[in-house]
Order: sequence, then structure tokens, then C-alpha cells
Amino acid sequence: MKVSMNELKSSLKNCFEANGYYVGNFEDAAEMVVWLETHGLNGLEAFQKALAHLSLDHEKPLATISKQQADELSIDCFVRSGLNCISSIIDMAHAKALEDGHSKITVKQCRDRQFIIKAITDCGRRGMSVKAQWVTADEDKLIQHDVVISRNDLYPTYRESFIPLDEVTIGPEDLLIECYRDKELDISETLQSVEHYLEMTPKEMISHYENCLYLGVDIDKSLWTEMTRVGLGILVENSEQSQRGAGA
Amino acid sequence: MLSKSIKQAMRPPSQSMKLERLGAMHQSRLSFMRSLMRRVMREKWQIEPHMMALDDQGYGTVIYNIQTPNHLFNFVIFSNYLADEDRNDRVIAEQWDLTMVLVDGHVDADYLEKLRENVPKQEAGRVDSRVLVLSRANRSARNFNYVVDQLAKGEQPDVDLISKVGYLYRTTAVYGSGKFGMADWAKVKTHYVDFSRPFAAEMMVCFMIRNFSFYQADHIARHRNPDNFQALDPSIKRFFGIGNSTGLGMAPFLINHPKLINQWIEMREIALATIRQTGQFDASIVDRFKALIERCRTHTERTETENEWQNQNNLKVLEDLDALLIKVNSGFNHWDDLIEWSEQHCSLQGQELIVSVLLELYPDLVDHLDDQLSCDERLELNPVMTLAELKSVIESKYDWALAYDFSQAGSHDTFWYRSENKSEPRLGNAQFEPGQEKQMALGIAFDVRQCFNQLCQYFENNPEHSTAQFLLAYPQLRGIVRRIQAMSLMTYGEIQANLLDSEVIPLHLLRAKLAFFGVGKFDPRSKLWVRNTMFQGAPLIEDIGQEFNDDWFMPLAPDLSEQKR
Repeated sequence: MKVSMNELKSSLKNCFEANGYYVGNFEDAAEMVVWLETHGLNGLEAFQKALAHLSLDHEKPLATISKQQADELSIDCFVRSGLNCISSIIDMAHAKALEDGHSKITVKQCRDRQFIIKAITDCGRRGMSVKAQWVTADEDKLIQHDVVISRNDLYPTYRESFIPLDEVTIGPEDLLIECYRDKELDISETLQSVEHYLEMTPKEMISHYENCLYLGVDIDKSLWTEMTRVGLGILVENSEQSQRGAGA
Repeated sequence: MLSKSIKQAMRPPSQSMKLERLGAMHQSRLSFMRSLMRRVMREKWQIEPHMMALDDQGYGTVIYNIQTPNHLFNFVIFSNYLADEDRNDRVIAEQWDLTMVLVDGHVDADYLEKLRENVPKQEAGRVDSRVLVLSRANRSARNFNYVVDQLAKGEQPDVDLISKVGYLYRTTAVYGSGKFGMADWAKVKTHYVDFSRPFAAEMMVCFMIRNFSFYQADHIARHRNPDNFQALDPSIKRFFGIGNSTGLGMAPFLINHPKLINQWIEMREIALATIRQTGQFDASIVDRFKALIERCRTHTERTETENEWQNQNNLKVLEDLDALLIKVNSGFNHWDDLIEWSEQHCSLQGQELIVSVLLELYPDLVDHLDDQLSCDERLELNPVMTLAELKSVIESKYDWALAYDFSQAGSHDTFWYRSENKSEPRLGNAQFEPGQEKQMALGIAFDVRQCFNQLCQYFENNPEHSTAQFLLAYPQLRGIVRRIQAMSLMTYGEIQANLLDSEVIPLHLLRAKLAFFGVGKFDPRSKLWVRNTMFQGAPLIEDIGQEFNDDWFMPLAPDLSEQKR
């Protein structure tokens, strides 16, 4: 079925809010999903996977700085969804880079890391160059994900590449972020992988977006139903008291 | 770029953004209806019936073609029988007299059937991205039946009688911006220049319902008595508006779109300041001012409402206008004198009416501002702002919020929530109703205070930290901190009120937004919902292409006795 971007965002916000996401966070999370989906980056597929563990986040500790030296930080997310913590982490990267010229953050134990793409895009728009990398497993293959944006650009470039196990340098739930204040990032130089099998360029992202803008967003009906059902959690039970004078 | 003198002449937010003043606003030249009508008339849009398949009772399907210089749209109405006892203005209603959509392009037979399956269901149906607006309307049974009876007898309705209600139909919701599958606002804004101003498409739908209401009344009367019926007189038609019933559903918008509200208020304040600084001031403009005040007086005097509070406000406005005319006739030097005088001697509704009248006098200084009522609504967080600066921003820009004493009884008893019944927004009392844990984040003043308290504590131990570090430790404050930072760069936008107070009057929020739409004849039914009239005095479809003076502010009932002579 088709839904509008606004409708999708609204339903996602309800869904995140019903799962205990704070004000500010549920808006960011909804924006991330919609942005990824409308820019050809399978935001809804990622959201569907995240849906199963969304409700667990509010029981987990908050993301915390576990190590700090010079311009490098390590932040532990305690297996939270990236939807619920990546925005604040990128803000830390931004603030540190603005102060020191460069920041490097290793995020540990973070799920749903692909949502960093939206957060990085926002950071690029604010005048910072940012790159991020993480590794996932797909059956017997390891996939390296890279995303890069140069400062003041409006869109990043994203790549997926197969990577042999002996070349992996970060953990299975890690996310590596580097942020630069004054440096322009050459995309082809930064993304030097040999055999990428997927690349999304800014031009392709814009094309996806324009298609969604004009025609709406495709969503699996069962996912929409489930998202809506979860979002009902923000509603208050009807009562005679509440009906009185409620207005038109 | 605004000149320094204009900036200095703009009223401060401590005045303009007080809830009670916002709730005292009136329609003006910058209202969306006025802006739309100027465009329609100037560009001579061609609006014609394309398909009028109605039975003798006026039930059936209608399609209008709307041809603008840029695009063709279709306006589709489904008119269905509805028993009087089933008529309900609440958002929880499930059937209506009329349901309608505004659609991109030509509606063919197949697409019409898809619309027929879904549009009458309203929120329970689905539409697609060709649809710009979805709406519905209910008859004002009293007025409608009377008008049809008169026309069928070969007579015009009595203007004094119809003045009491002033419309044949009443809309109860006008949906746009991507709801239920329709086109996103981003699409409307970028793809349909004719409707690229805020709520222009929604206003167009209301204008079209109004025109259809006349067509339908004539149609039914003609079929009832083909030999003797008389069509509704155009001057009476112009005096009719389209009714509107607005409740709490509209209220959260003003809190959730602060940058947009800032834009609307700022343009109004720029208009006023520009007039005060540069508006030509001579005897002829003062004469025109007096004439408009007289018209406002008559219009207000003839406005009927059963609501005692509004009645008292209207009576106070009449007193204000009488005193104003005495002041004007005794002489004054400048609009500044008059505005300052009004702030000393008039009610808020009187003061804001004078502002609207001043805007009427200077189309050359005001009208172009209607192109600046949109904005990028993103609220940007500034993660690098120091906590010292954040603290200072709150203390200076949100001093109004910090002034509330939330330890007082009743200061945060109210909570705003969404009911499981069609997500209808409602107000609850935390003292004796459940649901506070699911409240909407509309208590900005309270949230600012909570944030400030937490910030001060954190700052004591971490004075060198940035906003980013603070929010990593307190992610629950992300929303309010982002809002504070973004809105501190704006002049207006934040409604200066404690919306959680047990005595809060949501009606003020509704009236503020409705005034920007351009409605008149506010008729509150409680402090939570209000009936009002849209497009009263506006041109008709058949007026397009004729001379247009854009002077339908505070319209008066037509005097048909002149025409009879």
C-alpha cells in the first residue's frame, strides 16, 4: 500500500513514543526511518527488524562515555537501538570536532546502526565532514558499510562491500565515526574498498526522494498495521468523563 | 532586510504572544482566505461545473473543473442523505451530508469510483497522492430548509433571519498535508504553485463548498417548484459564508509548529510596524479608517452568539469602537497615538480589531507579505552551545516561562492527550482522570522550567560541558533543548502561556489560528470548541473576471430594498 511521508512519520512517532522514547528522540527516530526509506536505503526494512526490540530500550542504561582521550571517545550503548541514541552520539562527534578539529568515536554495542546515515547527513549540512563505518553479517558473508559526507554537502555517499574476516577491525555491534571541522573529504579517496556491490550516490538518493514525494511511500500492509497497532499505545482509554465537552 | 526603525516599531513578543491577545485576533488582509481570493480573482481562475449528477433532493455526485494559469484541478463532492438525528460535528462522527476532495488533474470514471468508495468514509478510507484535500460538511438544517422553502415559493430569504447563522453548510474537518494517503505538503508546495501558500488548498475547498451550497439550494428549490422558483440573489449569496466547527484538534498545531507561527505573527507585526512608520497619513486615509470602524461596529453589533463570554467581549468591542470614533473625531497626529491610546482604553479584542483595520488601509504595504507565510520548519539542535550560553538563553528568551510558579495548586493539573476514540485530542484533569503519563508535550513553560532546573544542577558540576554532553546524560531533555535553541533565534513563535494550568482556555489557541485562516463571527460553544464563519462577503464563482476591490472585511448584510425599487 501507499502512504504519504507525513503519515508515515506520524505513525512512526506514535510507535516510538508508545515504546517509551522521549520527546525529541521519537521525532528523530521517525525522521531517520522516513529519510532512509525515501532515499532508497530501506529504512522500513531496518525498522521492521528493529520493531522486535524497540520496547526493550527503556530498560537499558543510557549511552555512556566509557573511554576518553584527546580527540577519541568510546561510547557504550548497552545494545540499544541506534534509533534511540545515534543522534546524541553524532552531536558529541560534532561538538568534539568543532573544539579540536577532529573527533573519532567508537560506538560499542549498538543495534540498527544504518540509521547513522541520516544523522551524518544532518551533520554534513551543518558544516562538518563525517564518515562512518560498521560491519554486519549476512549468512556466510561479512559486509562493510561506509558512509561519507563532505562538509556543507546535502547528501552523503553510501557503500556496501564484502570484507574478509581477517580485514575486519571493528566489533560486530560497533560503529566507527570520524568527524572533521575544516577538512573536505574526497569521496572516492575515502571509500577505497575494492569490491563494493552497492553504492548510493547523492543523485540516486535525490531521485528516490522525488519519486516518494510525488507518489507516496510503498509499505507492506502488515507492517503498517503492526506499526499502527503499536502506536495505539499513546492513546488514552475513552470514558464518559473524557467525552464531555471534548469539542468538534 | 528590515530597516532599524521598522524593527524597533514591531511589538515585542511579551505583548504579541500572550495567549489572551492571540485569542483576541481578528481576520485581516494577510489571512489565508483573503490571500487566496486575491490570487483567484487576479489570475481569473476558471471554475466550471463538469458533472452535476444530483437527484431532485440534491443527492448525488458533482465535479467542478478548476483551471488555474498553471494547472487543472477537479473538485469532487458526494452528497448523501443524512437524517437530522445522525448529524454530528464531532471528529468521532461517521457520516456527513457532504464529503469532498480536491484532486490534481481530471477525474475519470474509474478514479471517480475509487473516490466514491473512500471519500464518504473520510478517516476510515484511503486516498492517494493525487488528492490535495479531503473534507466534509454538514447542513445547517435550520437555515438550509428555510432558504430552499423561500426560493421554492419564489421569494428570497429574509436577510435578518439568515444573518443569525450565516451559512448553509458547516465543515467539521478539512484535511491536507499527507493525511490518509493524500499528497504531502512538501509535494503541494513544490508541485502546485497555485496552492503553495499555507492552507491555500484547504481554503479553496471551503470556498468551493460555499459555492456548491448555493447551487444545491437553487437546484432543490427549482425541482420542487420549477414554474415559480427564484434563484438565490447574488448579493445574499455573497453574504453567506461557510460555517466551520473547530475543536481541540486544532490546538496542538500552534504548539507543534512554532517556526510557522513565528512567521505568521512576524509578518503581521511587520505589516503593522511598516504602517506605523511609513504609512501615508492624511485626511482621506483617516476618513477611510472611520468608515471601516463604522462597518466593524455594525458587523459586530449584528453578530449573534449564545455564548455569554463572547457576547460580553462583543459588547466591549462596541464600547471600544464608540470610544475610538470619539477619539478619532477629536483629532490625532499619527497611528502611533491611536495604537497607544487603544492599549490604554480598549479590550484586547478591540485593540486587535484596530490592527486589522489598519492593515486594510494599506494594501500596497501589506499584501506582498502573504508570500512570506511559509518557512523551513526544522528545529535544529546546536550541540556545541556551551551550557553557560544555554542557561543564558533560557533566562533571557524564556523568562516568561520561568516566571510561572509550578508549586502552586492547579498550575499543572491540566494534561492534553489523544483519546482512543479516533485519536480525538482532549483535556484531562490530573487530579481525577487517568492518562497523564500519555500526555502530549504541549506544556512548554513547564518543560522549560524542568529543563532549566536540571541544567542548573548539571552546570554546577560541569560548567565547561557542551549541550551535546548534557544531552548524552539527559536524553529526555533533547526535545525541549532543541526547541529552546531553535526558537531563541526567532522573535515570535512561542505562545507565552502555561497550557497546563487548570484554568487554561484552549479557545484562545483555536481563535488565533482561525483568525489567520480569515474566519469571522466567532461563536464559542464551550472553552474547547467554536463555531465560526468562513468566506462571508467573499466573491462568488460568477464574480471571477469582474472588477474586484478586495474589500470584504467585516461584511454587512445586503440591503435588498434598494434592488426592489
